[in-house]
Amino acid sequence: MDIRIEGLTKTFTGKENKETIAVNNLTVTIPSGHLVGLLGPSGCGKSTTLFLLAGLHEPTSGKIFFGDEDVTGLPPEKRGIGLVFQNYALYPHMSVYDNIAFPLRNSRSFKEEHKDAKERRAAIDQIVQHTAKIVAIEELLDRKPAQLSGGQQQRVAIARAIAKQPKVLLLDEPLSNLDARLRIQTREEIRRIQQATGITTVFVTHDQEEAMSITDEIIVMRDGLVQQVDHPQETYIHPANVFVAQFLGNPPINLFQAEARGGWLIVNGDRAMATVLADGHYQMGIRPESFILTGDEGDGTFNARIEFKATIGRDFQVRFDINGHFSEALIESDQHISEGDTVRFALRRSGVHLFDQDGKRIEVW
Amino acid sequence: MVGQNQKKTFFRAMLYLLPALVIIAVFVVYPMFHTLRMSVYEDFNIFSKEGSGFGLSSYIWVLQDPNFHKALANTFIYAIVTVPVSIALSLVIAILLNSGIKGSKFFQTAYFLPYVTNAIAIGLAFRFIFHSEFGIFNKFLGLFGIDAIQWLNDPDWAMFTLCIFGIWSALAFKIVIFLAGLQGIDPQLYQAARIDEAGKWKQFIKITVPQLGPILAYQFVIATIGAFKAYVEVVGLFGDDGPLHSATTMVYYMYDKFYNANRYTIAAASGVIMFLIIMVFTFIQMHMSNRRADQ
Ligand SMILES: Nc1ncnc2c1ncn2[C@@H]1O[C@H](COP(=O)(O)OP(=O)(O)OP(=O)(O)O)[C@@H](O)[C@H]1O
Ligand SMILES: [Mg+2]
Repeated sequence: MDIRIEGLTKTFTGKENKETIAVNNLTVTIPSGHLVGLLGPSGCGKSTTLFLLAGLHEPTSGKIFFGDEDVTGLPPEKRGIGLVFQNYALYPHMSVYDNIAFPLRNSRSFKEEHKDAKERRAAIDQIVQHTAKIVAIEELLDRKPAQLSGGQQQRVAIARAIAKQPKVLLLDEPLSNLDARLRIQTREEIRRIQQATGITTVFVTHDQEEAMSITDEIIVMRDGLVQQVDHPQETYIHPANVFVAQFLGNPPINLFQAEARGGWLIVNGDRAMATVLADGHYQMGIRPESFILTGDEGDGTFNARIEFKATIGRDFQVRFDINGHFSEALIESDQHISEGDTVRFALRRSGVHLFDQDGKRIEVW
Repeated sequence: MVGQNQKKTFFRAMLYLLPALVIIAVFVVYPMFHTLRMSVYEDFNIFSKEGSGFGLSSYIWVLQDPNFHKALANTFIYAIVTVPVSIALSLVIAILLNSGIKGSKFFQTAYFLPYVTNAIAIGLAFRFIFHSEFGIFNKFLGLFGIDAIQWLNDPDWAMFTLCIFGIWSALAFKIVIFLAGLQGIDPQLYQAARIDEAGKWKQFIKITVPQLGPILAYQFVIATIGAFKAYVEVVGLFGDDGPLHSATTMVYYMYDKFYNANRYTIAAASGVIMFLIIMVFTFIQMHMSNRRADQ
């Protein structure tokens, strides 16, 4: 079932009628069975968007469709969604088992499917055990949430959300408290379950690697406004604006002012790259991995004086000045350079992005 | 505190506790022992503080007194009726007030007023409300063609009237406590419950009640003790113990025996019996709520 969001806006009115636009005119379609990542910095409206989809917040304006059904006015209990809250919201007085079983015990449709009470209990038990195994908490079923670590609580919350096989699964940073290994394992598991069941899923995160690795599409948000909706790789390769370019990528893109003059972009006084752009000033971004050390001295290269060098695994991290901006490059380690050297760089065109002064991407340059 | 001179710590603690200990000793411990001592004599001179006729005769007298039976029965009825009803009612009102309905701020204050108002004054107000001729209660019933009820003057109605008054006057404190408890529940739990398709009633049973568990237990214990000690409500409403002693309670009985009849040993013996009853009930309730908490 696809999710269509049309012109969705949510404003909160705080003290002294100060308004916060948490979600601003959001229009997007999430195809059926897709896993979509909602990515953006803290406070950009990710959780609010999720709460709107869940029905826990009433939109100020706009509409939400699940499939062909307009669910904008539908209360959360009728939307058939699973939601993992950012801070879990487990029921503290219930055991882990009861937490996971709770939605099944309430579900009308489940009651319809399993009319006999005894058979229903057995079915619930089987689902709870099975789900617990998926998120590796089968040892913890008798515990109360307070007796669990943060990561364990998070997995209980995931189990509770997926146990009832919702039509739409909403995850609000479901992996933020797990250690690196468990995080990768659980996100692969979420991906696997999601693909096996075909549940349309929205996955909130501010970890870009997480978003890149398991999602079909990424929605990048900032201050309630959508910046880009695209395939994960596309947001990296073709960032729609300066914000997306800066937000994605680790280490971050080097962004600075550059002048176009006579068909060349000028970097550190040299003609660094050919361009078709009219003369003027532009914002130029270079991904750290797009610098190539070269022996050439002519056009298409530029000078830089290495001010800092460190070894990161197989690569060197070097830092230097570009047009007054302290920049960073990752280069392969078989190059002999040391701090204080002046070197010559060429650039990979695919790692270079140009934006106008408003921050909008310039497609052809 | 680690490594500090233990003796010094002890003395300092004692110094801080001393005022409280002195007050407790003078006003609680001493009277308790004094009462216990009075109760085991047949006769007692409260001025010379000497008793005569050592033995359990006062207890036997109390336990055989039909008035005491009446007081005991009334007290139990009062407790059994007012405790659950007032708790249920105050919980409902607290939930309504907490749901942010219009004017809830005003009502929160309004419901607290009886608590800070003198019980005798409220009793006087209720005397008027229950007045057989002019009271609004009977006026209201009259609208439905129901004959005037002698709320305060008919021995058969006296306990009923007392219970209504008792429930009403117990509400304020309970509502305030419940409101505090409800405000302590994480609202996200209700959001999660809605996602999990729990209706309003399910949310109440599965989230509100368990979350209020300790507060409910506390309310039950306090309310039961309070009901067993009912006295001000009786005097406030009737001025005495109702028509033909029909609304007498254990504490009223004790008071009456002490101040009106000057039967000090009888009063003391009934006081000790009451103390034992309250203690047993409190223990049972604590035990039950502890067991529930362990589950
Ligand atoms: N109930 C509320 N009342 C008022 N303002 C709110 C409320 N909920 C959220 N906001 C505001 O709306 C904006 C978006 O909040 P939201 O919780 O959606 O951010 P988020 O993207 O989930 O951030 P994070 O990554 O920190 O969880 C913030 O500025 C926040 O202060
Ligand atoms: Mg959030």
